[in-house]
Amino acid sequence: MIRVFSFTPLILAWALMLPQAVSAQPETAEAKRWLGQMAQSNRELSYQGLFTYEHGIALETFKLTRWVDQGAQYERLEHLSGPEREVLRQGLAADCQSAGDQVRHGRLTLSDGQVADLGEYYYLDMAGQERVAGRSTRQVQIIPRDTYRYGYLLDVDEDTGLLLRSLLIDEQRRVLERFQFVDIQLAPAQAEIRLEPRAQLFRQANAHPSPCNPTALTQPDGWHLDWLPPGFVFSGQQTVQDDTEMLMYTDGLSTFSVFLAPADGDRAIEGRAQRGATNAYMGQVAAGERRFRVTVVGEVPVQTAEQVANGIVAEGAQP
Amino acid sequence: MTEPTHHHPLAESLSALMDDQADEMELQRLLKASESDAELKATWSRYQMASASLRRDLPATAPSDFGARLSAALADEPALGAGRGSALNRWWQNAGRVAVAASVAAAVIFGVQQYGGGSAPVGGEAPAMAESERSELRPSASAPAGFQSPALNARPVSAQSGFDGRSQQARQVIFEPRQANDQIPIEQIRAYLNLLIDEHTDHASFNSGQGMLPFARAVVGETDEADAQEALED
Repeated sequence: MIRVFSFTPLILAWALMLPQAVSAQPETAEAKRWLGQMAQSNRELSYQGLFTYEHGIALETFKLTRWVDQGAQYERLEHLSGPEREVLRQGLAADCQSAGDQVRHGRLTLSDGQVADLGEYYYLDMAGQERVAGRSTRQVQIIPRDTYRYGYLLDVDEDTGLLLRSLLIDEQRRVLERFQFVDIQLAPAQAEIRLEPRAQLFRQANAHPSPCNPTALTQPDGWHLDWLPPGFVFSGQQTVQDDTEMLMYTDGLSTFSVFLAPADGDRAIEGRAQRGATNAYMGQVAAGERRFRVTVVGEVPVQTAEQVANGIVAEGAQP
Repeated sequence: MTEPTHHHPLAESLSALMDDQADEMELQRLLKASESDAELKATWSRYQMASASLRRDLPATAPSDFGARLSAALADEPALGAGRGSALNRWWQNAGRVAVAASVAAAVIFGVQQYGGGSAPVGGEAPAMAESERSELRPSASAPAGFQSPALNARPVSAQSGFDGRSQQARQVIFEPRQANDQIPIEQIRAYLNLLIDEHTDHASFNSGQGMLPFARAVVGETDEADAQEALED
């Protein structure tokens, strides 16, 4: 029930602000500026904050500590509820811009020579001022122009550009998840020089799963996607879990990953899956004599994941 | 819930469920029975409607004519500019339903989890109840103790202590096979998907501009490593 109460005013705010935003097209540029500022602050600032994460009927609390030392980023995300768990990420250069960052900045050239533009796939608008974690924020609303991706309502700190609240919203305007800081302190004392895990359960995150500062679009190796939702670009490829190829795609805000694992002799399993705001589609694809399990995972509608999965072909395979 | 249903053997379980007092066993029995027992299904549905209408009287929820009033207000809005109109209109049309829908989403997922969590068939085709009825499992969203069953939280982490298992439950992978198939190794599929979703999180964080926030989605340590290695290799 708590969820109902808490989301209602926000959604109404979103709904009621829309017409005003529609009439003010120049705000698109301002929204883009705030998005750029947001990503930059997320890379360059040191802070410690508490935030809540709501999804489904659950509410969880986290402490995020991050600091930048000699141009490298260090981050520790602690679960404050449930068993002690943490995610550590370290070593990413503060000036490393991902493919997603490049798309948002209009710095990625597509294969047809065009520059990727976030505004082609989302309506971007400023939705007024808010207050989150005791700080003034500017609200950026991001509404998809098609049904292949979700929408966002982001609150960016007016002073620092830090993202203080983020809502993921589906095509029926249901809030799928919400991150919200309740307290944030800038430039905390750098007590944590080393980033050793403290919790028994932890995950060392891969700091840069795809290359830094790409300027041109590349293609995946070994596989080809017959269909990509418009605006999504290939941002990198890596091998995970020993034998699984992972292809990464982003439109600058939304992301999905394509996993291809050898599945010779395995049972063919096909279906849709969901965990929180993340959707997945699992199927099979043949590559010559071999069979692979294809799983598309992302914070995109499951129809998008399914359509992507169905369009995957092995390079060199006859269509 | 006062309607007498003394003639049905599961009436008591159903009452308990409506009062949020049913345990996991009772719920499973009810779900199973309702697939073939039309009378039980009808009673359940009736209870759900009664319960739903009661809930709608709660002052804290949106007034029932809210949607209508908002629609009327929207009808008076000037037409949106050409070229930007259609998509925005689509978003607008649902505005009145938002508050409700946001809450229902959780309940739908929850209902499916109940099917997926136990021995009952997995997936969207198997449940005998229509989606609207599953949505009406809404009372469960207000934290009934009986629904927090250990059986649904069989992952190692959840077993550690008596903390509120709801967050773990909400993170459980729901899998809906394309073809209903009782033989699907659902636990292995879940373990496998958990691994992939966590791998995806690295990418989601790096390429979405949202910093570390996406890592809150990861289920750190909740997938048993051995389980994961075995995943789907049968």
